[in-house]
Amino acid sequence: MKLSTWEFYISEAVRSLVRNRLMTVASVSTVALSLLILGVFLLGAVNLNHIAGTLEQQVEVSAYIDEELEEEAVAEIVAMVKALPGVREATFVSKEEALERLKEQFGERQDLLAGLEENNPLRDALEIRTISPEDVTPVVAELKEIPGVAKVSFKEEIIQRLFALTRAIRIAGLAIVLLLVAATVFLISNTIRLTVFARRREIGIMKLVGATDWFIRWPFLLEGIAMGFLGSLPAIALVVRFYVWLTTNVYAALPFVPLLSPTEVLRQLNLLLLGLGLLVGGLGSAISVRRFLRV
Amino acid sequence: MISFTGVTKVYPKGVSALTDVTLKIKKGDFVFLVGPSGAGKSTFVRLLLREERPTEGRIVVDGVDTAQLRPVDIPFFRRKIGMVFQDFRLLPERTVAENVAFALRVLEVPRREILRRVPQVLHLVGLSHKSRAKPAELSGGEQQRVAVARALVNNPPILLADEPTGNLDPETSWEIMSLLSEINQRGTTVVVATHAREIVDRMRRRVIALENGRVVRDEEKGAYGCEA
Ligand SMILES: Nc1ncnc2c1ncn2[C@@H]1O[C@H](COP(=O)(O)OP(=O)(O)OP(=O)(O)O)[C@@H](O)[C@H]1O
Ligand SMILES: [Mg+2]
Repeated sequence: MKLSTWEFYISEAVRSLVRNRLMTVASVSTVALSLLILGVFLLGAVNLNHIAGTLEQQVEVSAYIDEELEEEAVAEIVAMVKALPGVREATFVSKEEALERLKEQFGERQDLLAGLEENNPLRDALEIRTISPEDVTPVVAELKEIPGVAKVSFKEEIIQRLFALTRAIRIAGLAIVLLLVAATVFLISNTIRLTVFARRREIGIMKLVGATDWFIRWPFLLEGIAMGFLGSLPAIALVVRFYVWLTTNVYAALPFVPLLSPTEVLRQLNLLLLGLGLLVGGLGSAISVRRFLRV
Repeated sequence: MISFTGVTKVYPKGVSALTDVTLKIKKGDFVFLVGPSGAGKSTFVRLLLREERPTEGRIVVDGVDTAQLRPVDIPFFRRKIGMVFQDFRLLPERTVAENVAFALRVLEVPRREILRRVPQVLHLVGLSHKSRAKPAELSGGEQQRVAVARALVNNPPILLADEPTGNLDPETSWEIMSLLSEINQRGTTVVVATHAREIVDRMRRRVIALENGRVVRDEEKGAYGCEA
């Protein structure tokens, strides 16, 4: 393909975009809005997934131990717990260790925990992992029977809920995204239909003088792809700004919420949004070129 | 150059536009295609351009059997035929030179070649001085000259015109026909479907007369004919 040919395609596409600027602006805005919503959904989904995964890796059941107990008594309890059916692993974590961990989680905001060493509010605990999630309930029941265990807590439920939420968001997100993509493709194809109509004279002449089908189609396809591209740019800019803003604030206010860092997610997300913009634009114009450009 | 053998065209609704047409047009011929409205002249043109396919019969153009053409071949086939219509079919927002150049640009002719050929062909049709004008600034005759220039700029072996003077006054019509005749003199095969009785009678060229889709007359140095 010659350079001058591409110049021709591009100049025809630009001519058409400018001539139908109202429709162009409408289509580009729709692409931008759809991609923006899609981006936000994806960020929500990957982060919820990440949070649930992180929580799952953490302890499933914690048994807090009476503070007055002697070391031997504690060791006895550990042995008893390890022998319980359904228990895979039981580790003793002193309250000092627990505080250290908390500090790590807080990262740069450790200052929030200052002074806790002298007056450690945490308790010695046994962290227990079960063989399977179904074992959690019976194990919890057994633990409560053991004298010297002051309190039992488990995160299973919250993790399950998080996973359920992630699934729900993924399904709802997918539905919304499909809907948005379909609407966007439709709008672009409609715009291209109008430009095909507006340029039927040119098309007629091109056919008459013997232009090949693809030569006639390319400017329209480029026009759609250009609309997709133009729409993806503001979407990407807004998604980036939103996520940087969100993570900055969450890291500052809620440092223990394990959000993915912008550098971890944004590059891939941006590529995805860009690719999807181009795809949606190309697909929309392809539909109209197929249906309305009888060459 | 052009040969029709037993060509019949029946449109989907059952209208029989051409019936058993057999004729030959040799390279370098100048042919008028005449006949009353609905006789099948435009159908003849559309068959030649391969916009329609014959229901029966064979059409061979410049050695190509049009029935053998695959869809991808059609654009290349059309490059053999320069086409002129009654309504000019120019692009209103482009200048004369751009309109002519457009036909070459869509054929991916190199820019340098376009810059060489467009002034040449505009000179041939006598419009060098109007190359920067828009179609709306031209008279009907001038617009038709632009259309002729566009049809010719790629040097097709055949020039086909469907009522090229239908929208023009008699004097301008004569000028356009003279131009087509001049082009024929330079070696192009020219086929003109027309109603312009006086011109046909005056030019004394080959006349093929259609009536109800049949060839009723085919004469060298013919006239439009008495009826119709
Ligand atoms: N696309 C079509 N579908 C159905 N019938 C058609 C179609 N095109 C032409 N016809 C019919 O075929 C016949 C021949 O039409 P054609 O256009 O070839 O005539 P013509 O000689 O060019 O007439 P005119 O001098 O008025 O332009 C007419 O009866 C017309 O109604
Ligand atoms: Mg006609």
